[in-house]
Amino acid sequence: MLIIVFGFIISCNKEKNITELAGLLTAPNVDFRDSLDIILNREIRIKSDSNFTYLRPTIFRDTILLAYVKEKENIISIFNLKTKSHVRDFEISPLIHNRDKYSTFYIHNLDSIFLLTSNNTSINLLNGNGGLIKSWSSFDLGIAPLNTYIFPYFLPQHTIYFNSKTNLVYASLIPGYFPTSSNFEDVPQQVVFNLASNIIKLKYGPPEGVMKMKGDLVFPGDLSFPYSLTINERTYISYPLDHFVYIYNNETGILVEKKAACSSEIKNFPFPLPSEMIKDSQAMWNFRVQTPFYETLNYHSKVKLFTRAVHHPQELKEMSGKLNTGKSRRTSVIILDSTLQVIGETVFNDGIYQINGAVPLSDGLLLYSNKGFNNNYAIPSLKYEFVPKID
Amino acid sequence: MNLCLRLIKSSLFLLIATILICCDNSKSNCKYYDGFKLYLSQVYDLDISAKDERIFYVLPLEGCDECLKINLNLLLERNFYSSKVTIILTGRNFNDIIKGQIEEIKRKYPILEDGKNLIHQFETGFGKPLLVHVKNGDCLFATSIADSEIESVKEYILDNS
Repeated sequence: MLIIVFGFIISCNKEKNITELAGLLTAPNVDFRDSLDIILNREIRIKSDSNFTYLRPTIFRDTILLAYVKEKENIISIFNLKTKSHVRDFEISPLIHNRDKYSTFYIHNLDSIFLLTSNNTSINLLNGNGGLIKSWSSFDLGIAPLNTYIFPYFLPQHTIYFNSKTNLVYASLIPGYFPTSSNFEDVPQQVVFNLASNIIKLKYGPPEGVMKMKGDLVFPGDLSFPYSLTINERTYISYPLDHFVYIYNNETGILVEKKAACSSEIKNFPFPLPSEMIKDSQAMWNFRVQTPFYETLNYHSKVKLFTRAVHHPQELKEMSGKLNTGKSRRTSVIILDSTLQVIGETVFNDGIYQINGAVPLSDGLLLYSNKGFNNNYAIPSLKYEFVPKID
Repeated sequence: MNLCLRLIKSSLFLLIATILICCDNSKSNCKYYDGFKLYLSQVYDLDISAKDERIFYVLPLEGCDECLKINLNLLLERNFYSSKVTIILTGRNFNDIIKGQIEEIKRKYPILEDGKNLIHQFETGFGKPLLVHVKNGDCLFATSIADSEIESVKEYILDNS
């Protein structure tokens, strides 16, 4: 009898979660003040003899850009965007180069560059010549065995934040048994640790919203990790398939508020897939190709605005029978004021806003693009800025 | 009349169930075979129906290093060989440690190279290493090779060689 009652309670809870999940996948109605637009300001072309590859360009103080030279594998080139010139190259330590694939950088200053790689349990600090100053692994932070928790930085759209005054690093640290676990929704996914002592100061931020309510259902891996943006004592957590942004006090770990930060064009996200589908990588990829999803939340400090791009849904296949590459995908960028109130939305057509191809500037966005440029330019980019919308 | 209707309904249900079971090729995991054929024809100009019998073994060089090593070790085992196996290498190898093994694979088996990862443009079921067994244009068996299944893949290849 007890088993039947217990089973009934579990079944009711699941039902309740599914209903709540369906609600969360639908965009709430928000007051939308359409007062700002994003327009092309200028093209930036820097001439170079080398071919570059980067999953996501890294820019420091709107001026310095780091790009990775493909042919030489371990050479990073530094460019000045303002003078449109090549500054210098540096070679990444073989200690890392021979072990990991590069993902992205977090530049504290030009002599303290954090290199994030395919190694999902470590964070590396390089000097300005590419030499390895130190590596930190989740093991150093007292998390054992290794791989119990992983950093999501093998995905280049994710990054850390370092506060040099307090010596604290703010990072996402995700349970390695992700994405299916019975108690996954209770596990904190954010960590604040001291770089010198390796002591974790705070763990906070278990999954919220869609990611909490989805239970054992699954999204493709790269759409399952939280995006984290730290500005002073606040950390903004957002998810690729959740319309809300969750704002935490990163000194206490308390969820202060959640704000709907959604597009007026994307009303519904698809339901996650049953957990057994995770074995079918093609089914997961097909979901990934078709689904709309949000990119990271960006902050533009000079104009005190946030932006959040959302890629629109698209067909699975092109006319040729090939899978859709997204080269013509439509993307909305919503503009939010400092309180995360939506105050504008700009639509980019024809794949101009490539997936993870935009880098936030203090007063706009830099879109890396190959469209309309010839191959003589290493850094073909388009600079966009915010302007009042004229009715 | 009611009984008659019920009988018709039951027969119809049985018929539909039988058709579904017969048409369900997921048992042999060949559900992405059309995409795989398209990949072979568009990238390698390979008309699979014209070939007798082949076991395609797709190896992602840019995937996880450990998974790659497990598959390379199997393919290079001294007593393991099948003349039906063709290897498709996707992506580029950045790992010096396995460079030698890849060269050895190239000497031991017929190779198709996909350095630009064009396979991702097709619906082939590729994510992990992939095995696709084809005969006279039909897919006999296909499986995504999880690390834990490497022994059963070995047995499958040896049993069908």
